[in-house]
Amino acid sequence: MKQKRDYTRLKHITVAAGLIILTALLQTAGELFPRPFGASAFLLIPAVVCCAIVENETAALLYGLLAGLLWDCGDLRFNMHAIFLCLIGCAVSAIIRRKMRNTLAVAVVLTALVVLGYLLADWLLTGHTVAKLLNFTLLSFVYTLVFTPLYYAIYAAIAGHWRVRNLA
Amino acid sequence: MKAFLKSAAFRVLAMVVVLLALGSMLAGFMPSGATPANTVISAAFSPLQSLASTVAKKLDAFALSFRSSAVLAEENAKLAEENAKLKEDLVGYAQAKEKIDLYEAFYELKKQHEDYQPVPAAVVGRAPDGGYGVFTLNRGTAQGIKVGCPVVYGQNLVGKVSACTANSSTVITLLNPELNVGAYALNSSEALFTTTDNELAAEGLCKAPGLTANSTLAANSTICTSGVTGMFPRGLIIGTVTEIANDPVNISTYAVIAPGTIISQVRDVLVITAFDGMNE
Repeated sequence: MKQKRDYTRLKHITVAAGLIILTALLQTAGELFPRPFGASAFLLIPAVVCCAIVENETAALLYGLLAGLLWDCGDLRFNMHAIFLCLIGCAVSAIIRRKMRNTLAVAVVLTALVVLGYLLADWLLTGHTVAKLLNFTLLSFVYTLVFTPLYYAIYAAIAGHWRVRNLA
Repeated sequence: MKAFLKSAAFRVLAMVVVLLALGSMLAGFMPSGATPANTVISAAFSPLQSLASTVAKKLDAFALSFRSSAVLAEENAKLAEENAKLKEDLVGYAQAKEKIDLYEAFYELKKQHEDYQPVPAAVVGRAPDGGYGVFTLNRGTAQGIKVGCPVVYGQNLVGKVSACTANSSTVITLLNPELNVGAYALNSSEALFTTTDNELAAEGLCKAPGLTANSTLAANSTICTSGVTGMFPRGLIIGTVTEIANDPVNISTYAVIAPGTIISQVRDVLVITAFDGMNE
């Protein structure tokens, strides 16, 4: 019985981590993902937030760590994204377990806050021109947010399928 | 909140964050310039990135032929088929021409500078926001690449390697404010250095700041590497001056430079692993 449970857990981790790896490839590998009007989709953020919503804090932290390290492969000198996504994963999971309900609306709001924070920090650090705010930051914010329901549905399905946690 | 701070997850989080921060600090002292965690992860991830990059190029070609077929099918099915095939050939030709251009530039470079030891590499990753002029190559220390190696496209300087693992490297380009390059103007031999700032980098430009009052630099002057620091070989083209502007912060002037190659569109580059006078 325990062996079967471990095997199920392993399958669940493989699928959840696989989705993060696929997302990292879509985000980092050149022209693999469309960039309408020059906007970029920072897909790893909704992926980690939605994953964290259905996982416990430690698991969410580790998925965030994986996502962040894959993101950091774009610049091998730092681990900034790994630290950022670890914190986000753990914080989102803790909030959902203690303060909020697990719903799509909550997922969208949390993702919006995280993406907005990330993009505004990026805007402030890498040339805060009005043109960049309008042509890149705001467009990318909307473009990233569009994918949140998709990630929420996938991770909720994964969690539901393997019954990791009862969805609210 | 108190319960969370006492939980095992918080302890793990604190430990992971401290380790990652230490890794980032350690990277500055490592010969590879990469953090230990990134070295391990990139070993597994960079082959996947190369594969994804190849798939992206194939999809690009497919999308082009699909679009062309759809339009032409309305006129004549047979012609559309022929046209789609020609389009596919054209994409293949364009890709082959891109490669030939690179190898031609490689040959010219090698002919003019026999001391250069170039390694061809492909760009397999870019940060979604343009990443401060940073991109990832699919070659690393296994091919002889080291931190500090110049990265060129033909005779044009693109940047330098800032971190590398066995099979991947991070390149900071001329569009990164961290990169300063000793330079001179080809027509007047005036000594300069080039750098950039966030606003210019966003437009794909760099600058030569601190021009003196008797500077003869003008639009269309070509700027080349001076090679004085031993970081870059002498004579690589940095770019062309597009305008001379007044610095809004102080009373000096600076030259705005358009890099010799469009860095955001570069797909294949050469990494010079050795040249006469390197690091001297």
